[in-house]
Amino acid sequence: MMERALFALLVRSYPLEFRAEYGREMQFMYQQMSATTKARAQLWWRLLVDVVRSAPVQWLHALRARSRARAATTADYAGATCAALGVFVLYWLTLAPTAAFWDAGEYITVGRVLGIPHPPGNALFVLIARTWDVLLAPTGWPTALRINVLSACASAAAHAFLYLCVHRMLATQETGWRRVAAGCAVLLSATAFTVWNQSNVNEKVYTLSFFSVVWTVWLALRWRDTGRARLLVLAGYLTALSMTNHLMGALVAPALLLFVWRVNRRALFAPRVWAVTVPAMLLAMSAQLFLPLRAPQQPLVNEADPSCASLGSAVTSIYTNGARGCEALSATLRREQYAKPSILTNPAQPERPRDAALLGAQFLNYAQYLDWQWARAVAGNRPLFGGARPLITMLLLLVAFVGARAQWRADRDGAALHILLFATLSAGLVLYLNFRYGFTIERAAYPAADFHEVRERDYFFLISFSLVGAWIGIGIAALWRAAAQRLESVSRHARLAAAPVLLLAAVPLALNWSWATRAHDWTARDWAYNVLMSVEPYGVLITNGDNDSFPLWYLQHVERIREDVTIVLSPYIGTDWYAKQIRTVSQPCAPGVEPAADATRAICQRPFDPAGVQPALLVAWGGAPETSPEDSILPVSDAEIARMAQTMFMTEKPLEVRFGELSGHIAAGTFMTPVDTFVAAILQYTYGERPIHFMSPSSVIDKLGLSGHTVRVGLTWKLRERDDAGVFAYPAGTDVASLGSFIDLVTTDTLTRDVFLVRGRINDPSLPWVDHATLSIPVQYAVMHYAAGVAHELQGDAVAAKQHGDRLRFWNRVIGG
Amino acid sequence: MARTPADDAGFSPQVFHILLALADGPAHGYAIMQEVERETAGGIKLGPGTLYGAIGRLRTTGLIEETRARAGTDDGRRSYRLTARGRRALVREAERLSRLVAAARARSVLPEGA
Repeated sequence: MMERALFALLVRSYPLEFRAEYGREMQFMYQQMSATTKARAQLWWRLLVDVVRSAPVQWLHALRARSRARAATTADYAGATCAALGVFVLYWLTLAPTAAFWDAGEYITVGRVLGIPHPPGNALFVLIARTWDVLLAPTGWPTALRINVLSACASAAAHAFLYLCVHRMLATQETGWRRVAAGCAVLLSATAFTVWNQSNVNEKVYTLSFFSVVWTVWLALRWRDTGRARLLVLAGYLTALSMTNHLMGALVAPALLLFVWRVNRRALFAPRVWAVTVPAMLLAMSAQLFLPLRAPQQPLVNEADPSCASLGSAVTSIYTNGARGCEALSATLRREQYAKPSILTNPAQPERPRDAALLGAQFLNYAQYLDWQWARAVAGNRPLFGGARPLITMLLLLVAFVGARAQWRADRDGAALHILLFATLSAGLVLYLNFRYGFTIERAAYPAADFHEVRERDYFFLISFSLVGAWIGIGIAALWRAAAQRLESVSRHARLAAAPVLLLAAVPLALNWSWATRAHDWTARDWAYNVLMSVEPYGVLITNGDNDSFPLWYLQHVERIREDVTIVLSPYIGTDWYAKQIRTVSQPCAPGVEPAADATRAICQRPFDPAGVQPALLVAWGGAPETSPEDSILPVSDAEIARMAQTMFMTEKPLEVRFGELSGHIAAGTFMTPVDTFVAAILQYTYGERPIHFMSPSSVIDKLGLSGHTVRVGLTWKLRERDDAGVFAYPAGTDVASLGSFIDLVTTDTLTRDVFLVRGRINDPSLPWVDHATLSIPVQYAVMHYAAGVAHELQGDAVAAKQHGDRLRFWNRVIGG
Repeated sequence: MARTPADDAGFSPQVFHILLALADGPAHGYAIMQEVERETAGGIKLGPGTLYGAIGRLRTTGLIEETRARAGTDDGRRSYRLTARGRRALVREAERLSRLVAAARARSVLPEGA
């Protein structure tokens, strides 16, 4: 008995790992040796010698193994920091200095005014953006730059976690190679076209989603290494919090659950974990309360006005995801404004099912966007698999396969997570989003605009492109290692000799730069400026959609330029909440009320500031107005607004409508929507009191039969007034369809000569117009110069005609670019 | 299957005899020890630490593996057997040693029949 205890003591001289594996076996062996050996001294001498010889060896092995294990699971924070810094520098060099088209103006504005953007409201984004704007105020940078830096930082931070994830998943591999592979993965992800193009401007909220998703994956990997359940709790909290930014953040959940299932499925059913995780997630979702708390304060951007009658109804709405509770908040959370059809229905033809042809086109659309990621500049103006671009894509996808294989061999659980996350964010999203035909595909088969998305939607798939980039990066590193191994027999510096393989990682950097960069891109901001300056003081500007509205919001509410102009976004004016907001921002200020007292809220009509307008333009306008308008542009009650928002009818016979001395004709059989009703009401109350401008083309103006009463003024069309002097009327026989009937040449010349700004990258003929869906912007410039040039020519002013002709050629170059 | 340095560089006598002890089938640690001692006429006496240290390395390199077969015992002891790779390595090593012996005989270092 005592001898057994003594041997047990000897066994303890071996390292724990060795004892855990073989300690019991050694005891068995000792028992048998003891039972068959009578010479005890001889036995113990043999055992002692054995321990003295073998224990140090086992300690050496154990210490080495521990060191390797530590290195494998130790996060390379220094490498991740370097990767993030490198990515940030890239995005900084290509950063947009100001707002861009589409939603950038909206998101920058809500970051400034603590507003509420379009549904689902992006509460977390707004809170972060506002905080970020305040924190970066000491830099002196303009707000747009600060918010764009937020996007760059979120994406750079996401890449820090991507580095850590890839580095960890390859833990069984050699340290130096892991670093190279993780670095390549980051480079290929960061320079993927959509990732890059969305990270150097804050056009959407997906860089924050990207950040939260990759961070969550990293938390899961750390949980596997440490077994700390609190990391799973944090992952759940982060996922729920990210959902208050955008539902995209929730899409990490299937991959996360699969990973936990594979690693330790008991953790999925541990009551203690759920007892903490569920309250943490509920707490995170409370960020949505920002929407009903802020909306009643009437911020300048307050889309869908998610005000609630009580806090209780708001809470119910949030925690039932809009199934019950506050109606307005539920509508926002469920994005009811967009009336998204069922995933079984054809979105362009709701009476038809979503058939195989449409499904094929939707996956083709994804493939098209995937083809943009690595060599966007190759045949860039041919958006659907143009030129040699698909060959480069195919080559890199093969490398991605090599990378995925290497990852699978190194870490099956991690690879399974990666695969499911990619499947969710690519095929899963294609199935869920159920888009119409892509903006640039199937145009011949379906020429009508209604069959197509209004713009390219590659940004939805940003994270999937990053994940493919990570695979390609790992694949490039694997190819490098394989090449180095082959060269070992002929070169003492095989890795260095094989290093040119790594240059493959720079392909997207080189072939995407000119298309992804937004450096010196002032086009959207200058467009907004030029449009606003085309509107006379206290004018009403009826716009058509995102690109002629959101950049203008930015200019008015962030840069505080031409705040006197009332912008009426025609897609929104059919709703009661927007009509009330329009009424508020244009109502006269009560005595003692100063709208500038709170630059973030809609209070009353903001004054015209002559100091913000060039003197020549004031002259063209005949001077600055001395007083502000005496009434709102929609001076009607809430009840009347509610009634108009429900008004839809078909005209049975031709109607004549009068706005002052103007008369319009509505054809029989015209379907009149709430939008038409509200615009007609605005004209009814406002014509003669304020200048009324439209953006072109305006379907409302055509419906109301007022096209013949409009005058081109710069980039807008103005309803003609009785005292419009100096207006040039095109003679019969000219191209009225393109030119219109009238042009205010004096004001248009002043605008184009003394006021309009056309700065930055648009003047560089080597840089393309990246977005086909916004080509209507340069087209509007071109048509304006064409119209002014023709008018001057008809007047016999060859010099002025030539000046406009030169600008026309400039814009044609941009369009054809 | 990639070749390991052990495939080419030869084994230590201890390792060779452990593999040899497993050539006829699975065995547990004590049986291996006894077989090695018998095979070497007491020339190599393995202690528990040395034996299981070697077993650990051989398992890591894939030359032997643990088997569920109990090798005639039912006391929960673990048994080990050669893998296909281990058997190939053992054959190569035996051939190498055989060539060494043949060379020694050719130079009369060893008498014929020794």
